[in-house]
Amino acid sequence: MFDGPEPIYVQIAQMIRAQVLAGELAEEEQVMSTTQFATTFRINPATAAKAFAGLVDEGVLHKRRGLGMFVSPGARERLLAEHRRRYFDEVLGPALAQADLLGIPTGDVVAYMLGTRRSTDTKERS
Amino acid sequence: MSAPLPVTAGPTADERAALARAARRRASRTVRRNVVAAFATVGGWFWAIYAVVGVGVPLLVSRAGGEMDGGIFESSAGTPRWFAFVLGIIVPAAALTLHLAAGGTRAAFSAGVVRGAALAGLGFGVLTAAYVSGEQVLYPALGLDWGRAAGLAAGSPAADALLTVVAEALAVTTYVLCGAAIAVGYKRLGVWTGTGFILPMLVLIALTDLAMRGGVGGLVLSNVARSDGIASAGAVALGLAGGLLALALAAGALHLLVRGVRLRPST
Amino acid sequence: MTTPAPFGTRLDDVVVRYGSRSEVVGGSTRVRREATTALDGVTLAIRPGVITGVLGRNGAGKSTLLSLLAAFARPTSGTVSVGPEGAEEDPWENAWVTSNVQLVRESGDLIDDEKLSESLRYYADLRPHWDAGLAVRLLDRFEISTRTKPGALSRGKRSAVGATIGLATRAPLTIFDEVYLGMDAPTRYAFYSEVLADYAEHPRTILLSSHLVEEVERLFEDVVVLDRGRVLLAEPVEDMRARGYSLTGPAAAVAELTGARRVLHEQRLGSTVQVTLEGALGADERAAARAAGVEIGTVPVQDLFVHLTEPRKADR
Repeated sequence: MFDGPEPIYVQIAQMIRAQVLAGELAEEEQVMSTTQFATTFRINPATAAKAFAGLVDEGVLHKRRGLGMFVSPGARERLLAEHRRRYFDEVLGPALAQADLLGIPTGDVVAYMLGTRRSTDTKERS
Repeated sequence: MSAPLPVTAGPTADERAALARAARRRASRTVRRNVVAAFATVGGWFWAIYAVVGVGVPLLVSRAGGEMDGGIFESSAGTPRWFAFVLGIIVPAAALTLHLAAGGTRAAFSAGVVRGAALAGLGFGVLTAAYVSGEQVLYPALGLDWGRAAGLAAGSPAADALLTVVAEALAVTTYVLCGAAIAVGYKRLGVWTGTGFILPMLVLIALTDLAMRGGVGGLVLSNVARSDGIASAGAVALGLAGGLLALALAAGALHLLVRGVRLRPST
Repeated sequence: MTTPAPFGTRLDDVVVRYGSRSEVVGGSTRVRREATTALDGVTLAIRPGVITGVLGRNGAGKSTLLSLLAAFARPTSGTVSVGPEGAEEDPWENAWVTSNVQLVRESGDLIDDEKLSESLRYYADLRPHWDAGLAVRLLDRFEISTRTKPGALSRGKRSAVGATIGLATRAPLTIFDEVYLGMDAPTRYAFYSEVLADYAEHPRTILLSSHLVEEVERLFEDVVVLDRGRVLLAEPVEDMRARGYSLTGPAAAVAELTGARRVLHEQRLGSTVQVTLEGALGADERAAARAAGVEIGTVPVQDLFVHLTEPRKADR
């Protein structure tokens, strides 16, 4: 856990965002306390606190005095919107640039996407 | 942003001084208690055995129709003192590392050892006086001679007993402190210098023996001088002063040695 | 019971020499007897209320440094001060400081031939913030009976006793010097969790020295690296993490990107090269690397530690 190249607090924030996105953490659901998080993952509480503070600033989490941290209402929607927005800039854009570099015709890319989309689309509907 | 730490203000200078005093008191009290507890248990066994021998031997001798010259106490030449000396080597120094690791200061350690040794000495003094008084009663009852050549004497049996308590307390305390100083000396000075340090400690032991006419030194002195103890008030006072001096020097030596002890990393 | 203010520490130009440091003056010649220099001009501040890792190779001076803070020893020269922020004092023979500093050494300072309960009673008597309940719970967790004599304990169990004492003392400055030695992995993890849990509840300054960098680096907020008696670095662990990066790719491209930077480590696999470099990369350089097909990676703290403390070629 948390073996990636980014600073650990960034990785912690990513993990919580991913859990919210996947619906594993529902809105208004309480997240682990800094202490619980620190002892569970054997991480310095300050590092965990830094991750949580960042998520509060982003509006993913909010603090309730004396109770703890909770997933903010609309957090999932906001994360989805943001990820959708970034998807084209950060994922698809570079992929298409690479395709250009390699001389893959746009038609092939489109055909590939249609092919794979179809299979995942049906999967999602079932 | 880091973890929310409750900001506790540190104590003021006055509060720190009070806390330091409390810490020193706790530490020296613990050392004292440790020393006293060891003497109470191990010393208790020693005195039980000593009493059995002290009563058993004259009983056997009188049954066999033999004669005895003086009592066991005097002829054993200060066995309780040497026993206290050995305990002094073993007991206090064993806890020194633990004491420092538990946050005690060196000064609190030596203060605790001195107090513990004084209490142990007092206990030995009282037991010695009781034992000697016991011999004094037992021997004539068995038809044996009893006399005491060494020691300070004041004339009346009660005063003699009191003097025995005081003199033996001073002596045993000094023996314990010298033992403790020798043990700490090895820790502090290493094997060679530590061994060399035994000598001045034996000098202090000789001083307490000779000044108060007790132990091996007292026995030797009484044999050489053929004096029946010393009974003049001035001589008694001088003897006690010598005993006090020996004790003070032993305590000072222990304190100086302990004060410089450093625990080096084991690697 | 309130949590006392955590202690910080400051060392100023501290030198510690072992062995004979006396200069024997014979006539006009001065003979300097051989002495080992354990700390060689250490200037360092450790933040209060933070868990700091103390790393260094064997003989780097870690234990010596830590023993100064607990007044187990005194520096040959220089000053050491320990205490709450703004009220640091020399710890030597200072009952207020020493009663609030707990150094747990690998040897675990216990009376070997008496029941463990005797040693624990000693700590309980002397330590102002001792938590007997916590001690009982931890010993139970580590499966140690207080009726055992410490001399009969295995190295791992002994270390666990040390961990227990270190936590139950609740000292504003708590130091664990290689306390994990001999513990098996599950016990070590239990130890780390307990340290974090108790630290979160009772904030204090904790110093932890260890060789198992990979295992403990995430426990730290700050890190101090000692190398041959000197402070190599003292900073937040995130900063240390940013001190190096790796480039992996075709030899020529990697060499061009490396330029004049300090190479901490180099590995070759056929025509592919991986170098570990000191410093950080700018955005332009990242782009250039990507364009050249060179992969940028981070370096684990463990590797950084190994590379940074490696004897340089010039020294050999």
